[in-house]
Amino acid sequence: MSDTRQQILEILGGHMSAILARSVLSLSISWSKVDPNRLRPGDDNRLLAELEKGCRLYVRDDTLRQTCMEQMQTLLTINGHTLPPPEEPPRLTRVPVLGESDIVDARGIGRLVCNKLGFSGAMQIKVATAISELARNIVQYADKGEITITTLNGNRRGIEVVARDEGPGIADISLVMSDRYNSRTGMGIGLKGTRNLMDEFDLKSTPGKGTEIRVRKYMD
Amino acid sequence: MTEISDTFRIPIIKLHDKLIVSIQMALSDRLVMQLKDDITTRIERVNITGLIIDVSGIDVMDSYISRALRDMGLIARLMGVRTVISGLDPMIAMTLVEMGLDLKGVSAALNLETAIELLDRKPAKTRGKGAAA
Ligand SMILES: Nc1ncnc2c1ncn2[C@@H]1O[C@H](COP(=O)(O)OP(=O)(O)O)[C@@H](O)[C@H]1O
Ligand SMILES: [Mg+2]
Repeated sequence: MSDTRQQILEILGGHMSAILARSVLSLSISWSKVDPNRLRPGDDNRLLAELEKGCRLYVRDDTLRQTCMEQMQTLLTINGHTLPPPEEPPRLTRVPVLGESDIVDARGIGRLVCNKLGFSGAMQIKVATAISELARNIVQYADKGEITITTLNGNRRGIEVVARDEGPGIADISLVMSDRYNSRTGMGIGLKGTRNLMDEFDLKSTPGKGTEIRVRKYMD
Repeated sequence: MTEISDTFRIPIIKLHDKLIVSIQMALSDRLVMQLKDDITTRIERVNITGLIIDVSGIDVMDSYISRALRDMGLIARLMGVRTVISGLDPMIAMTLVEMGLDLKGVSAALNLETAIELLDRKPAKTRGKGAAA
């Protein structure tokens, strides 16, 4: 990729001496704390504001200065947008589910994460309830396992919950997800209810190996 | 999260002819089971006509908890005692409905006060008579 720093210098150099151009640029970089070669959204305006201060000193003619600023603005816009938008690393919370008391913790943590994300109260409760069902199934049927809660920061903000265990697995998935399923151990509504509460529901299970249930809830 | 000791029990208060239970915490399965046992023994021991379970402080109501509450209501009814659940958060109620759950067989009231009024208004069935209906 072309060197944005160098390109700015060339534009400035068209209006002032090379030495001045270099000092205007380096001061603008240190004052705005923006690296022209690693532009993030919003950076371009902060850098441009500092560059304009320098240009006001050395390019006295208003029209020329305006041209100079426009050239730099175009450059930063083009180069800034060739970079992918910065993505916050997804934040992940692991909750081991080893016994009955971990069910309360898992759903409490899930609720906290949703609250931090700005989920509505109703959505916080829905996610917490789904986590409670998944964690309880781990304790009841697989003895132990793990719940991971991940913040989704992509173009759709939300939360992903994965419940994983190495228990006996579910032999007939379509049966336990069907309306006619009658559980001997519970209400038989934990998985169906979870599917209803969440936006995405994905169940993978291999008898003898374990179960992985991945659910997502989005903010919008 | 509040840590609750392994021996903690949800208190059951007797007020005139009623038992009142106020749940003000996240319910673990152990607490739910203990409560079910405690309510059953208390109904057996003391002479009451109504049971109020106030759930205004509950964090969520999943299928396990709602089943347990329904069972408590059922057990109480078989012993001639009417049950009213009070203070259910509207958001939790909404979640229950979305999951396809309901608290069949137990009446609901907005808060403790209306729960008491509800129980006082309708005379309870005499203990032991026609309770299994
Ligand atoms: N993690 C798991 N490992 C093995 N079997 C499971 C697991 N989760 C659920 N199941 C099976 O799927 C059934 C349906 O689960 P669920 O909808 O939560 O209803 P319930 O737990 O009330 O029976 C259970 O009865 C159980 O047989
Ligand atoms: Mg279950």
